[in-house]
Amino acid sequence: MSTFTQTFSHYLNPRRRLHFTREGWIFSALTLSIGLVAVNTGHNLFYLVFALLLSVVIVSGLLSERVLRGIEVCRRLPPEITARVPFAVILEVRNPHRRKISYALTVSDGGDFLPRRTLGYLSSLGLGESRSFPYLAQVETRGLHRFGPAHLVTRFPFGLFEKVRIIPLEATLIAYPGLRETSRLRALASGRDRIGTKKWRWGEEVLGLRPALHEDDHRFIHWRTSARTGQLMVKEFVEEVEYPRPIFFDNRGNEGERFEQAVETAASLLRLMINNGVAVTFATWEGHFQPTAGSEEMISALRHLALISPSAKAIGDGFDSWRSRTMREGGGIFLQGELPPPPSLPQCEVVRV
Amino acid sequence: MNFYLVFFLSSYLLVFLGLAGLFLTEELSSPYLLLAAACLALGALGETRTRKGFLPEIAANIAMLAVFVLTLFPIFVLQAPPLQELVHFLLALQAVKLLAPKKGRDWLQLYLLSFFSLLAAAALSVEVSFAAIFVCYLFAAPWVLVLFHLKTATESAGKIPDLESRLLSWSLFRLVGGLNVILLLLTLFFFVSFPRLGTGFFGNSWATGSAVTGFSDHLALGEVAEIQKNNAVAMRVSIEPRVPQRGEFYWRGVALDFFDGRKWRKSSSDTTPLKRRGESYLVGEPVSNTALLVRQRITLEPSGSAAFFTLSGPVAVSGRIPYVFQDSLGNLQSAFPLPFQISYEVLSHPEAGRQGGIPTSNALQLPATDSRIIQLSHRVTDGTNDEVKKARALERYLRETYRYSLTDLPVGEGDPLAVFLFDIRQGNCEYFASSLAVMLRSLGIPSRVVNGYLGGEWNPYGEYYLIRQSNAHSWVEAYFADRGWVTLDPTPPVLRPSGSDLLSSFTHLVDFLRMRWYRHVINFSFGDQYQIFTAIKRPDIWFGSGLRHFSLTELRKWLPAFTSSWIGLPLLLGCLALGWHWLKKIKSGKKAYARNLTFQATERYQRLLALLRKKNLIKKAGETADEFSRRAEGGGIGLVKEFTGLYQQARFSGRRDFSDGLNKMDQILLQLRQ
Repeated sequence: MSTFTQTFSHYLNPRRRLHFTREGWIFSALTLSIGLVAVNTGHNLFYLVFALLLSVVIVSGLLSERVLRGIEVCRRLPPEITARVPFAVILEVRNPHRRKISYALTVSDGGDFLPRRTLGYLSSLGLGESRSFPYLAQVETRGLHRFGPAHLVTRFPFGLFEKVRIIPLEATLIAYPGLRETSRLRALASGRDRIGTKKWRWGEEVLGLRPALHEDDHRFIHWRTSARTGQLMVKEFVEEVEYPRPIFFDNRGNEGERFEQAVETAASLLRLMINNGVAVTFATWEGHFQPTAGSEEMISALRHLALISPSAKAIGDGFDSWRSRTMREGGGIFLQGELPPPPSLPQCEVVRV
Repeated sequence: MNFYLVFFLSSYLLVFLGLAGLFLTEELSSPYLLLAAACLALGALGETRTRKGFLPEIAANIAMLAVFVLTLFPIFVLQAPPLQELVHFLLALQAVKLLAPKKGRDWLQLYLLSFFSLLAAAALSVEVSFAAIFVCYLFAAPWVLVLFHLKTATESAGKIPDLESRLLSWSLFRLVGGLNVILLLLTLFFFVSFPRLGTGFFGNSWATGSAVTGFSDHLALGEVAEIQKNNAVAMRVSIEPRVPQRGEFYWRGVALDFFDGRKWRKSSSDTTPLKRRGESYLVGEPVSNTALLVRQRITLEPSGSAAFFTLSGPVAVSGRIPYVFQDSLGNLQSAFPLPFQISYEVLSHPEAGRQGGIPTSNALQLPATDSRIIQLSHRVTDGTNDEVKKARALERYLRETYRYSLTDLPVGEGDPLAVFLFDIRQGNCEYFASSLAVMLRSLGIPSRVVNGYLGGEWNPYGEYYLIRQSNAHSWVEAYFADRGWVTLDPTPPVLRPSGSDLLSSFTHLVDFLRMRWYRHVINFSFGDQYQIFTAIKRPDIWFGSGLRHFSLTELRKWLPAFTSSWIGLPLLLGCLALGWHWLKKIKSGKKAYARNLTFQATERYQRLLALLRKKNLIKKAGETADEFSRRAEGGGIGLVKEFTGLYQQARFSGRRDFSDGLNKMDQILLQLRQ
């Protein structure tokens, strides 16, 4: 949209709302009455008073606009939120003007999950001054949640009308599934499968001996065997390498409380394991996530769980990938949902969630 | 500044203005006003000291109920005028409210009562004093309402206004000041532009005002003298062409033709309505030579008389007048007495003989007259047969032989004219005029007495004549077959005492304001609106003859022909919108520049240079900022180097957020200043 169009669309849709206050209704009725009296009597002093009252209405609108216009508002949100876990929101109000003080401002915020509420009142907002309004919010369910616009409200100057400036701060937040930690989940999350393998470097435990190569460190030469065999032999060590533990969440079933519990359990297990330092891979019928070891990967998995819906069919790349990984690495976790596991389930730990 | 103190004082000032408005109407009984004033003072004292009312809340409620009952009693039982009683109720209610403890809404109710006081003042009076009160109210009310709103909003948010910084600041004063100016301009705009649909024939016909004694259809000798002792304003007249007028103006009001020896009256009450053509009522036949016409704009104060005062020879009368009647004596009058102020316009032709038609026998009617008067008439006019010369001789005789006086008039027993002419030989204009009329009639010359006003004070501010009741006058009209009705004034000239120049000037200024007030506010009409909107289309009316040919109509002719086509006007409007948009963009661009980082950093650097200049460290022409900072460092001012570094970062690093750096620069400046 060009600047020109933007300017005019701004004037056509100024994002303002105007309400009469109780005093405003009384004032309007009074103005109307005096107007009628003036017309009926033709008395010019009544016309004069009527003109004054009409002017008050106009001036009221002009001044309230002056108070609201140009005030900058921004909302600070956390990068991630979890269902049923309170999170902090900060609404910052700033007066960028160099000559104009704004008076009697009320700030309110809300969204589809949060009833609109007044955050605070500013008797005045000075030149270049900014004020913050922090508050705690909470969502009850996982998924997408929408913050509505912020509202700057004023009744300045006379309290006759309430003018609302709607600030387009609409934002969509993704709420991860809520936490559902049980002792079993904690126990499951604390276990580690370690698989040893040979590696050409030193480690914690001696694996065996081999003929020395040119680049080997002489400190690791096993002199006794070298003397016995007549060639230089060096010690080989094992290194403990942790392979990601494959987790599969069987998300077949129907929408409902039961499904939500399963999702939350899966997400909680994922969080616990990652927080315990256990590397995992995560898969559902719809998708598969790379070995998860850090927050970024966990976020992508949690995002997936936040938006997941019951799967209708037991076919998908995610399951194949998980099964091959489980078979290769000799173990995995199958989080069973409402339906029994598929017949092609490899040998793994099945957890009902 | 203590917010509450300012709030209380401002609120009480608003209430005071409402009461002052009522006081200035002079229509209310003093006890109520005194009561309200006393309560105002007590309430203000109580609020500023203890912030508690003098009356407990329950007592205040009972008092209000009592006030209500006491108001209804005179209206329904004693049949007292409801408006005045309602105003009394308003005053009593304010008094109770002022003494009662006040919470949020109580203040609002008090403001509302104060506003109703202003409204009542508008209903009770049309005096210019209302203008002063109205303007004061217009300036005070927004301030009070803003304070009230800030107070209630801050308190509802659980804060204390006194502790809120910047709540009561010069910025707020300036804001409300600007608001007042806009309010004033808008009020004037709405007042002028709101269509006058009222059916009041005379503008404020329901507001009677205070009528002064005026002329009526009959006049006893000595009554004019009573009128002359009154210095109140009778009317104001603007005359066009505004050229210096020779001689005195005779403002003809009521001519009377029947004299019973003590009292003049009209012999017939028959009147004829004048024909209306357009907005004017035509008097008599149209005149041929319009160049001699004199236009008079007359604002007549309430007089209780039905007469329209004009210069002699009226041709047309116009104004917001439903009917104009004329009787056989040439008197112009309305359908009913005028107990309110009216404005009308008269065109007069100075040629003689237009005041009524051929005289009837009543113009020669004589009461039982002292024979000496007839003898005197003949003696004075002896030697001439010409009626005009006879009349002039009598006029001259009376003027030169008798003395003017407003006291010791012959109003007792006996023939008053005989006493005047032969005994006390002094009197006022009525005696001179009556004597001349009787003497003329005794000679067979038709005559009549005319009552009206003579002369007037020239007001240089408003360029109009101010005519007071003291200018009331009586003179004579005599009929001559070849000349028609001729004005004769036998009263000797009177030297009127004049005040000091300063006082006179001030009086004229006040009267000018009053005149403007009546002309442009009280009597503002649909006709005035029409004139204003016509004048908007004709800039030459506003800007003089230099723009005579520059009317909007002319301008439209100058515009290219395409504006009249279907695409021309939208195109023109589009161009105007585009121009406005670009202007706005340029303006916002300037603002953006003022806000940007380079500007802010440069401004600080210039402040640094100014500061160092005071310390005799002056940046040379051609010296770079780095070179200068090194020189300053060598001079023992090490902070300059750091400041210069920050300045260069702000200007050349391309960073958008450099608030920390700017703060640091401010700190360095502060350190250097210390």
